[in-house]
Amino acid sequence: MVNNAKENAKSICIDPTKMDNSVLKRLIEEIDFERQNQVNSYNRTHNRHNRGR
Amino acid sequence: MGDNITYHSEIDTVLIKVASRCNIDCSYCYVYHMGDDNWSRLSKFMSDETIEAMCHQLGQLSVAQDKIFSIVLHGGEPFLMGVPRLRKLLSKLRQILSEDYPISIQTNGILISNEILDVCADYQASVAVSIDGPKDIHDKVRVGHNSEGTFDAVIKGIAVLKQHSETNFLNAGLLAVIDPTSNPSTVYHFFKSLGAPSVDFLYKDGNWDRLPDGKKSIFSVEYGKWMKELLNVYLNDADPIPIRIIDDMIKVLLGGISSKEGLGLTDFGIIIIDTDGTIMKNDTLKSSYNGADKFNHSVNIKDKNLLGFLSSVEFRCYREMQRPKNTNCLSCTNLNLCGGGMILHRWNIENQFENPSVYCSDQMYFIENMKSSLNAILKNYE
Repeated sequence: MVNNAKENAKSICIDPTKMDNSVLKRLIEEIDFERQNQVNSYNRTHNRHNRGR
Repeated sequence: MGDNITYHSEIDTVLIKVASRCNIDCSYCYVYHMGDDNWSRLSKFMSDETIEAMCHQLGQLSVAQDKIFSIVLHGGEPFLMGVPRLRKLLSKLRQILSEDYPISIQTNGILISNEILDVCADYQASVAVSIDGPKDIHDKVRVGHNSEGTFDAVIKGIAVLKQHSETNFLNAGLLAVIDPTSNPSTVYHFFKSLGAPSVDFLYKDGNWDRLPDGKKSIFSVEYGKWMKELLNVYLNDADPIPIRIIDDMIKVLLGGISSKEGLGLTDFGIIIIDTDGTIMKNDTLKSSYNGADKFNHSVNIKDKNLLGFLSSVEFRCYREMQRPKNTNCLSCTNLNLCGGGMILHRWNIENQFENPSVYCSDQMYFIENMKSSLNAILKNYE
């Protein structure tokens, strides 16, 4: 069950190919990719600031 | 790790105020309408001398720091600088920063043209457009200096962006400020209809002494309810447009890492370089009080000592500001996800930045609903 990141790093191990929910399927794939490739938060995306214009 | 930069002074984002003025006049703007007046003392655009000095200093930073950092061109409206200035700036930046260093431009979209996009493509600078939703929502707040809505002009700009030959790289997504009186489903499906690669949503600026528009009290949850409805629409869409803030929160809940300012417990190292070259704190602090984004000992990029400044006690104290200090936050089970929110949302004159976020009730409401929604889906996979 979802409670905090630390617990879920251990407990959530879902095969994304078996996930029916589109959002969760993509995000689980992204988390797996980032773990396997040691992608850190800073180089995931180019635009992370919280301000519009 | 480079010789000069420690973990405590690493930079994630350098946000450059290339233009101090804006061609529109959004009613909620933290730069012009929340009490700060620094913009009025600045030249309209960054000078050649400042650009030269800044690029030199950023080149030194890239050598001293192993970690890649992002460049964001911001304003005012960055495209007010025009094609020649933009080309010169991007050319200089790319001379010292390889394409591994992301450069993005946050624009209101009105001045987007093929000529501007060609320059952006030449130097691999992506473009994110601010738009708040359909015309009736957008035009309530994002207005020109003549008080007329800007929606139609923004849509024209987005169309040019979508039709450019390099749109797959250039089009970096949409950024919207939430109107909690709007219908989240309507807003979401409108953004999908624009064909954007992603959208991000921001809470309106405000603090304990100046409640954000749309919040009746510290304890009300207008934004939390709006986000909950948005989440439901999102999770039930078979072909969803990625929503960055929700994606990041779900990723943290699933054991991933947050990549967003004001979310999670990852320190986010951001410096602002103002139009005159002054190094500033997080510019959204302007919404707290006049001058809140100024360092006590002002440093200008032309003084050629960026690395020294990043190693200073004052910079470390600034960076540590984002870590919540309120006892309620420190004992909160959702702290790893919420992170205490954006610093500006914690302000009041009595406790300064040591309050929980003014959006604490909204965030707790939203996070608990997000957990329930995810658990309802994930229980089928246990």
